[in-house]
Amino acid sequence: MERRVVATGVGIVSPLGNNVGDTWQHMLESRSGVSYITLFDASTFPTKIAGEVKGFNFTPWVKQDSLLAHVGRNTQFAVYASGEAYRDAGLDRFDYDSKRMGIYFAAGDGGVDLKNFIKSLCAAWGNNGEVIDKKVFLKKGPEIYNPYAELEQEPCMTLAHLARLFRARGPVSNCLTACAASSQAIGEAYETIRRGDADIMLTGGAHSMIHPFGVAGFNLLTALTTKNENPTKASRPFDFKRDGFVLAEGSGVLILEELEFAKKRKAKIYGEIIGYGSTADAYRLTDSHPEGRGAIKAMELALSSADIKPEDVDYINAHGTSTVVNDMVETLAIKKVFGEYGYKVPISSIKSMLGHLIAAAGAVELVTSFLVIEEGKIPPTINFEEQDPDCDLDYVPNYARACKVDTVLSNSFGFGGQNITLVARKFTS
Amino acid sequence: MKKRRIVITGLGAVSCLGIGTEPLWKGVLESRSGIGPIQSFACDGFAVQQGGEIHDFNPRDFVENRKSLKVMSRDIQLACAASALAFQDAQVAPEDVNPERAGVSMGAGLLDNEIDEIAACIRNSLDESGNFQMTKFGGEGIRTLFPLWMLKYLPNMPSCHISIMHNLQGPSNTITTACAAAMQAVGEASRIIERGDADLMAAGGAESRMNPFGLTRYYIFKTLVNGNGVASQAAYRPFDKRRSGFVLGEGAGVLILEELEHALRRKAKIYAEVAGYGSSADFNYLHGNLEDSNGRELAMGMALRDAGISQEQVSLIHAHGSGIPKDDFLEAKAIHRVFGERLAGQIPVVATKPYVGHTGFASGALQMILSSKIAATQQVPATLNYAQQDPEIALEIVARLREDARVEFILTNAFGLSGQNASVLIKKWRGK
Repeated sequence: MERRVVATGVGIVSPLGNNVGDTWQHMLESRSGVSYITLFDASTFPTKIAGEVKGFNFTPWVKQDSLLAHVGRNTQFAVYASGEAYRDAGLDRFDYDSKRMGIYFAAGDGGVDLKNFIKSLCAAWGNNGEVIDKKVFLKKGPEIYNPYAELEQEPCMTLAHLARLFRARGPVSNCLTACAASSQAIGEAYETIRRGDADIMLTGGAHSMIHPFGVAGFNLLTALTTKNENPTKASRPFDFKRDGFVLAEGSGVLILEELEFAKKRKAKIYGEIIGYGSTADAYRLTDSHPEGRGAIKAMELALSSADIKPEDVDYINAHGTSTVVNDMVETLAIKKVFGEYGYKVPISSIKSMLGHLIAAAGAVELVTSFLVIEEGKIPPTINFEEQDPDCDLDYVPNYARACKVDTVLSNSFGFGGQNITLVARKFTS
Repeated sequence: MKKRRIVITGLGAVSCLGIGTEPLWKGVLESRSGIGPIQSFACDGFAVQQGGEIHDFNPRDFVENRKSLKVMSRDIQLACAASALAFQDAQVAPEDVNPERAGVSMGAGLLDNEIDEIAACIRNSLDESGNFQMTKFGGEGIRTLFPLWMLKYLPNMPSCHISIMHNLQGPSNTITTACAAAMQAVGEASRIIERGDADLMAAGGAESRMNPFGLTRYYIFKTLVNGNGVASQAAYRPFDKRRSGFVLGEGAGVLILEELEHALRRKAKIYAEVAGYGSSADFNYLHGNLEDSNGRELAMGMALRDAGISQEQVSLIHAHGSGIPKDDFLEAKAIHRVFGERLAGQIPVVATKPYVGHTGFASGALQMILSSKIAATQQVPATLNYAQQDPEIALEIVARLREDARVEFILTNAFGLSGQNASVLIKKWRGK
């Protein structure tokens, strides 16, 4: 018999709140979580704004567990959001077989230990000051670096901490496919349960690239907006004046379960995952395929694997990054897949409020999609002020909308051409 | 519906034994290690001076688009080369494959910056007294780097370049579970084919930490064999009583996995069949206590159950065998638990990392390439440098080349430093 997969717990850490409730409420209020960067002095960077997580206190976790002392922001957010999802699903009060619980996560890197990184280089300038004296570096480096802080930069460490803290011995993996990562992780977690390899999966993503190298890297690629004057207005997906995305940080986590398993333990069910499509553009490193080839195929595969028609989709949670090309190509792809109905179905990008959480983006968006189904409210695309002739669909501009939603299609497209589409549906037995 | 079967039809390896699977296999059969003095940067005076460094590699031989070379770290270059070799070996003609039904799955992780490239940027961010100023970094510092700098080091780029090079429009995944990454990439690629989402997958991994940053990190993690010269090459001895860690290598491996009917239709040469896969987590890693690390055993057990075979049917275990004293002990213990005392003492166990060094994210792929060659040729290489039995290990370690082994099922392990475990079981191909 076909094994069905339902979501039974959700957790979020985001620029709009350090839990699901606050983040959701603030999205319905059309608020922006974007402000000036405080994590470092970004005053001379081309981009000085980001969606930072605010008022976040990880100290209680570290006090309980000294192994968390050196973790990066990625792991901090992951642990925090996983804690919320785990409790929400009632797994803290349920005795499960840890071998039947797995993790498929999309943790980004832990961020470089910048102070020691710089120190190690400055300790090893060669005579002419032009290059590093490798012999000196090898002597000084080991004295300067903290092994724990270095290790925690590896994306696999998030997974290691999550497995230990939330008692999961089953199938584990971490994928890092840029902006598509957590949607891909959720899709693979869904497949893991369907195949029968686990009954419970903890899945989602966590990332913070709001560090000097991250902002520098995206600035060099000219992928970020430079609308520094008015941070809350900077992320404007599908709007004519969009000019790049706003970098953000945080985590989104879901507990997925096999339906019968969830029913037997009387778990609260948010909804069901019914479709997953995964493709690559195989086109260019920096540009998405101009006709949206991979994006179209990902949506088509997700719909066919869900065995539904485009008209069955009540809401599209767009990738909607606010870059000129992404939003245009996504619009084009939606029209191609949905035809005339593409003009009727409500579409929104919550990146307009949160900014872009990179590896964590898709998971926060899928959690949001389940809340849309549950509450019948669609969060808006804010800062939608001027129509772009290339973006002429219903993007739920500026204000949340009450609307009965049973089926959601959620897109995530990664830098380098990975395309993921998930389909979630209201649970009916 | 009938279960879709998966076979291995192409192998591409780049290692310190040479560019290609043949030089690797030749070295292995001759019990010859590719480890030698590190030459690409000066490390005399440092505690570690030996490595499995690739010397004769020219990325231009494999990457047609010169412009993309500029945005490839060495890890990515090696990955692209391995993928080109694997496709060559599989002899896949473009008309043989529907690009929408072909994908890629690669193991990766943090890619090290080129030290002089990033140092130039930091140097331009110093004030007159030599202190780093963030405000200078935000201006002059950033401008020191080239526009596509970040792309050179993104972990998903090996997969992305490979998908572009070979027009693979199906699923593209990047697995970042440390030393288990490539093995998982292979295992998960087999799942993608099995469930019908692709007919062909390029799967493997790549790593090059043969640079001052990488060497420093592995050194401070206390995982490396210390020393210099011939003695340290011989000191890479997994499962031996005197083992003391690993010697760093660099490399890449890519395997072409194919749905059986797809492979048969195009009359592909078949190395072996992928029969089972398992993965798991340890609650403890690196500093964990020894009593609660049963994830290794779970992964192996899952792979056996997945294939539906009994312990007796396994004819060879290709161990992770990192050479780290505690790791090898735990792997041996897990083998004992999975196979029972009697079988654990009988089933031959081989570890191949001493041939090429520990290649991290790539290691699982290079192991799988060797396992495929073992299955196809029925020759089992020696565990190089193995001489002195450790009573705590008590396994049948293959110490000498076995030229007429009868190998049916091979279990290959890869265990990540941080507690991720993956095991893949392959079966000798005997025809459909």
